[in-house]
Amino acid sequence: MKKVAIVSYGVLPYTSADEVGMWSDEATFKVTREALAKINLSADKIDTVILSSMDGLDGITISNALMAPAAGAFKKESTRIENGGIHCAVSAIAGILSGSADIVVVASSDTIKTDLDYVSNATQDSVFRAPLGFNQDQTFGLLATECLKNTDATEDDFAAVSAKNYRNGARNSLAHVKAGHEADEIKSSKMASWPLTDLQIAKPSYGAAAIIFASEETAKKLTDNPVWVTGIGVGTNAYFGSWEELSGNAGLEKAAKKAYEKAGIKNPAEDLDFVELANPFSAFELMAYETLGLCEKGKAADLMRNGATEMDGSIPVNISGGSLSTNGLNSSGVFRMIQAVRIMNGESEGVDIGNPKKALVHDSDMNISAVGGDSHAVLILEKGV
Amino acid sequence: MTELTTNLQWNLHCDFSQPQGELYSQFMSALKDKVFLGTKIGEKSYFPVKQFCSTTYQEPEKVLESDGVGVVESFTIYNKKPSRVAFPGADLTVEAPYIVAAISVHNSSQSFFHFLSGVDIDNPLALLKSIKAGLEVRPVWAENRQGNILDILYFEPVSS
Repeated sequence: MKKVAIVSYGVLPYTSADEVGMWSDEATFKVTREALAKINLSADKIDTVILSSMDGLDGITISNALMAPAAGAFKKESTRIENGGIHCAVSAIAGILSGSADIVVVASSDTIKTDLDYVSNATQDSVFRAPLGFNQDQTFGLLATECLKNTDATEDDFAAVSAKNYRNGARNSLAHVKAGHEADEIKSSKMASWPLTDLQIAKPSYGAAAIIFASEETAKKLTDNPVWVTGIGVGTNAYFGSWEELSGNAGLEKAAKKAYEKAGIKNPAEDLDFVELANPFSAFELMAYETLGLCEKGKAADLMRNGATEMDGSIPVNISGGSLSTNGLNSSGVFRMIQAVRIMNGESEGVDIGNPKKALVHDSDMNISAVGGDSHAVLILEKGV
Repeated sequence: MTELTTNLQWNLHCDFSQPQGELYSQFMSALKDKVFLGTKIGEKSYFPVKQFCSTTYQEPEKVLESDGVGVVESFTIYNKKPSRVAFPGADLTVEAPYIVAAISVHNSSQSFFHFLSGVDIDNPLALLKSIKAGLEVRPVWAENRQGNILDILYFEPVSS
């Protein structure tokens, strides 16, 4: 079986819309150039460029036309995927395994500010949901209520899991939100979409990120520090479905199952050294503990309360600070893969979790769309295989 | 190089039009008569109408009529004025905070979202308790119905 590795990355520190201060293609150029420079690779060696972006967020149709040359795509294959950076990674890996490419750049940027609630409303069907003003935050509230209804999780648990993410984000020099919000402050922040307060819902972050994938043979020539992709999975939820189907995280379940099978993971809580999860709202992290098989059904809050998912716990989740700390709407998946690579290569400041060998990275389009039809992607990354 | 950076602002405005197809057109038309249509697909019923089942991947066999009575499955209390795509002829009148609920109409295999009113919005934990027990709700209809989803103003408890 041929293998694919992540061989380099470039990333801007994430910030607010007012502070990012550059064009989207300029930001994409900077991070791609940084990624190439790290491994002394010239842009002409790139075979394929895959961009993660959504026109609704950028206010430009076919926004990849502007962005692709900035990521080194002139005269090369290029495409754009709207579902997120790890979906781009899946396509990059498929290209390499099929033999059509040897070196693939996945790049993404967030520099354009827009009305996320409006864009999210525009992702809804025009018959039943969009006319009601339905959007992502309302989805998050409905799912969080379901979590309260069917598990022993409480509003205090939602605040505590948020505080864990903010604590980790405060240590991460690349994270957007470094305020280290504590549980009491989170719980008493303005109510956004009950049971979720304002600080429990990820806000847009601005920056850019690029990552380079290569075939096994090329990876070994380019770097002494390859991070290998040993499992991939993608899954999609129903848009119209029963509440059980819509709230059951079936897309993530399918994605994780497939990735685990490929990577030979039988017991995720023991086999994985850490997890980087796209958690656009507090309760989603607890829901995902169960879906990813990190705990038994109904035991997610216990897992968090026992400290198992803290940085010094048995299965750390979101050492980087997660989506609550950094939520690039186009680039979160690429950013999250880079966080995992940095942690595995010992490059993430203030992170001491021994010598991690195996990690799960997750991404989805939930932070923009809403309940139903959301697509989830999971990668298993490994060192020394 | 100067450190000066400026911002350029713009706004996209573009009109769209989409055929509603036979089933959705029937559904919209029936709303004017306070009838909430669904479809039967295999052993399951779907309210509102659906052209296919995502799970079984089958087509509908027949159209079902109902009064729209259902059970609340989840809810959230949204605390902002929604930023919404414009739908000519379908004005949104809710004011924050308001409740959005997931509702199963007549044991529908498809959850439906709409506004919930007539409950104590200041006591969400009590509302959570009541939906755990099975809170039955019915649509409250607008006086002047246009044939769109906002012909239902909101749902309210059947017991109220």
